[in-house]
Amino acid sequence: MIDPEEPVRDPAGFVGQAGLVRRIYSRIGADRPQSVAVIGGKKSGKTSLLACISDDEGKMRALADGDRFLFARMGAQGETFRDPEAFLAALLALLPVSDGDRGNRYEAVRGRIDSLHAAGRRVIVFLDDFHFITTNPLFPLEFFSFLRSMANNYNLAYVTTSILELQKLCAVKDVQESPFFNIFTNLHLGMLSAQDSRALFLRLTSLGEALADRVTGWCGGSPYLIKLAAVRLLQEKSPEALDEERLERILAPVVAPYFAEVVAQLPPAAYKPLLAISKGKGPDPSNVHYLDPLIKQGFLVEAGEGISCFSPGFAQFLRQGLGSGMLTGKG
Amino acid sequence: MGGIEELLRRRRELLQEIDQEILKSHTREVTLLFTDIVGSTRFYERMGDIQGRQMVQTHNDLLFPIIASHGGQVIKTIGDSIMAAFPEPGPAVLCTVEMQKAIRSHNEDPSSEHRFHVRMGLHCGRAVVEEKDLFGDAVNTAARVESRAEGDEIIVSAAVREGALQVEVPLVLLGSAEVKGKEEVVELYFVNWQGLGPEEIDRTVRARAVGKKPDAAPAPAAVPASSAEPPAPERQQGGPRVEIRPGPETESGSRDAGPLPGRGNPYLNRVMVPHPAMFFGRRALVRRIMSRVSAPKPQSISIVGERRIGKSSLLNYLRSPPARTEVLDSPGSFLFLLIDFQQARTLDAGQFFGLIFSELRRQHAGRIELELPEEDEGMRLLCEALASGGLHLVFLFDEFECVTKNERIRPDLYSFLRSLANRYPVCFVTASGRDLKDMCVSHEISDSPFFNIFTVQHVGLFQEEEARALVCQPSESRGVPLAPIVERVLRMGGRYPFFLQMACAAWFDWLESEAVRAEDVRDEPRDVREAFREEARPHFEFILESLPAGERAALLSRAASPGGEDEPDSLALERKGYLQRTDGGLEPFSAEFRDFLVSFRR
Repeated sequence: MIDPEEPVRDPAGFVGQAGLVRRIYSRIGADRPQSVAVIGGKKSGKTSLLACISDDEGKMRALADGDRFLFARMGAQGETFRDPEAFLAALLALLPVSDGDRGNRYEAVRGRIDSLHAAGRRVIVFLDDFHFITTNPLFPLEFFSFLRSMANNYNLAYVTTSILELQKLCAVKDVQESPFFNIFTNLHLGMLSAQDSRALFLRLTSLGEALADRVTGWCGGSPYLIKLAAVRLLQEKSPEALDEERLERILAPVVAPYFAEVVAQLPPAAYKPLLAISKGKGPDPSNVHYLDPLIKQGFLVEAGEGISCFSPGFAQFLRQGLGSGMLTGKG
Repeated sequence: MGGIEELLRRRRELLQEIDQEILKSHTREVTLLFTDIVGSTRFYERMGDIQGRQMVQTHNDLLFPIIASHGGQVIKTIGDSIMAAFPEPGPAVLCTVEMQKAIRSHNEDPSSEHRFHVRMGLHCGRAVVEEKDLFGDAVNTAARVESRAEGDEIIVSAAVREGALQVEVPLVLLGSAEVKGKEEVVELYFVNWQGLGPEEIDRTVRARAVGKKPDAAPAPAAVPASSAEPPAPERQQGGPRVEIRPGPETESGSRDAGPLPGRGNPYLNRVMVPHPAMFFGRRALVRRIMSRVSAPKPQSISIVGERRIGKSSLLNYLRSPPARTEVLDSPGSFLFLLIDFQQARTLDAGQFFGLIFSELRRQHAGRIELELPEEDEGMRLLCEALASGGLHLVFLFDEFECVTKNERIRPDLYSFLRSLANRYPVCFVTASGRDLKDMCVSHEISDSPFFNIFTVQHVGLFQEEEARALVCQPSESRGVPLAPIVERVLRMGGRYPFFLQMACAAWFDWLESEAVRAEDVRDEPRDVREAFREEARPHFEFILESLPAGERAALLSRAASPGGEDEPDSLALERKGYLQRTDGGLEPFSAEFRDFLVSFRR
């Protein structure tokens, strides 16, 4: 049963992003573990990626001295990201108890990390949807200073996911300007390669390779869209017999809501250059900066001097939606 | 043929030449390891020869690979002892620690058939090389050093310790010992790989190995923390008390990442540089700071620099053994205390002193014991006791603006700190983003005479040769030398340490993953540029957004057209490290930064 809305929890079911996974492990496994911020749009596979990276078996495979690493996984579920107290309590629950905690929760966490450091352990804290913390005004500057101090003084690093760069998602100006964010290397979660897209479709459907190429070629390398397409095509009696026109007619309404959500991130000033790109024309250079978010997320692709859409399906959606004024409310 | 006198003279010269030749061609500097299984004779007696030999085989199988993995060579085995040689002391020390850990794991494993405990000793010096064996005084001394250890212990000579300063394994001075067959005494150090407390080391290892307290300085004095009373000979119960042991310090508080490993990309660190061996540059600044703190009347320094310029790493380096031993005449008479205030923004005065005392106990656990009230009076008593013991106290205060901006810290605290610096051999080295006086919560604070005791030192870009060293040395040591492309790396990252590390990291990753040698690279690979930009651009954006309007305009203007007048905003940017001075005038610190500014301007 495929549920496109559900992240992949089992690392065995995770497909692609091998280069990104390698880069993250190289930073976690550096002389001194390094913090990484994985940035990706909605439904780009951040949570699935984090589940894959933080898997204990993967750790032993990817890291030379995997048994020295302690992985602590935290997410926005429940009350964990409600306030610092709840966060630290949840973190304490993931760290082995040393010889009794002292002081407040900050001190207790520090004490346990200190013990782990002294024992030669390395601690990696995985924080899914970390923007829920940076945008929460209940988390004061001291909290972020504490996190940075832990990374500065111990063999500890964070791997976070967020929909935008963390610094752009801060509730408090002091936090935004704090040096906490200096410790992160930002890595953008882009689209799957053509080969990985095809592999994902085949794994989900067991349909033919020719259809896999046609579907992923039209949808592009978004794992979410590939899953949506797979679910829809499995409802067809003979999906492999569909001609191009019919295939696109079936898939277009399936992918449209997601594309609409993607375009909605942009200001109206971006629509004109976006429409030009969808028609294969170069955008006015002065407007290109509006498109940066979509370039970073992989929906637009820079090639030489020009920019193009990541898939024919997206270009078609833009031409129809923006050309008709449907997306801009002028249609 | 000359007379007999001439012949004898010639004979003497020839013998000297032969000695010189032997020394030159047949001796080498080595670090020698001796190990010995404790109680093996009894084991043989009890279990028989076959079981005894089996135990030795298990021991060899366990330890030989560890020796090889640290670059060592087993010279020979003598019964249940190993004699091995290493080219350098550092790896030898790390090797002994790993061997002891491996033996511990082996002994803890319920399936292990034979359990054993091994003593280890290290010494270094020149040894005569003959075929595959080594001979000479250094070999004999190494064996004697080993005999001072007991099971599970590692003891090393001062020569090893000197050569292994960069290795962050705690080495505790035991004292000097007469070594059989040698006229001179040998200073011995205990490798505290198990994290024993100072009292335990005193009670067990030191008492047995050297039979006394360390003799590098007078016996530890229990200094009563009151100027009115004479020093008491024994530890007092209750009341204020400061107990100081003689240096050198064991650096127990250093939160380093442990031994410096030797694999992977060495440029990934984006937090404080923990390891002195990975700290580059700033040599002139370090010397300047050290000369001031070690002046007859110690001087306080305010280090001012932009974010990511390396202030925290500099402070951490100042307290490291290489910085102290390289610059200070008597490093053991200085007590450095590093306090990071980034997480202590809302302290009151009491908590401020509490933090200082707790860090003092943590960072100098082997050297100092305190029972003092955690308030200004306790602080004064501490400074007095340290001064009586001939010790200089150097406070290294990182992110000190978190204190000066803190409303809960009243002006009288600053007056008190100033009085400490005036009365005792105490000084402060602070790090902050701007001049401290400009970062005070009120005029009442900024007007405090406390701030007059500081000399300001700005931290900016690396010198050219420092930047080149950062590009070339770590990459060379990891087998992916960047030296052939050093110019390109510098163009990308500039002499700004934080961004230069990023550029090095991007190049190193690419060369390693593509298995390409730097000298074979013709163009700048797109992947390298993109990796650098992905990491650097958010920081570039932050720099630009956080600058005052005038400096921001000046920076954008210099990016578009370098050169021009040196107006105040541009000079401020040069001091911060965002502009560098070239033959053509001031320009952005790197080509990538300039390109970013130009595109931003568009």
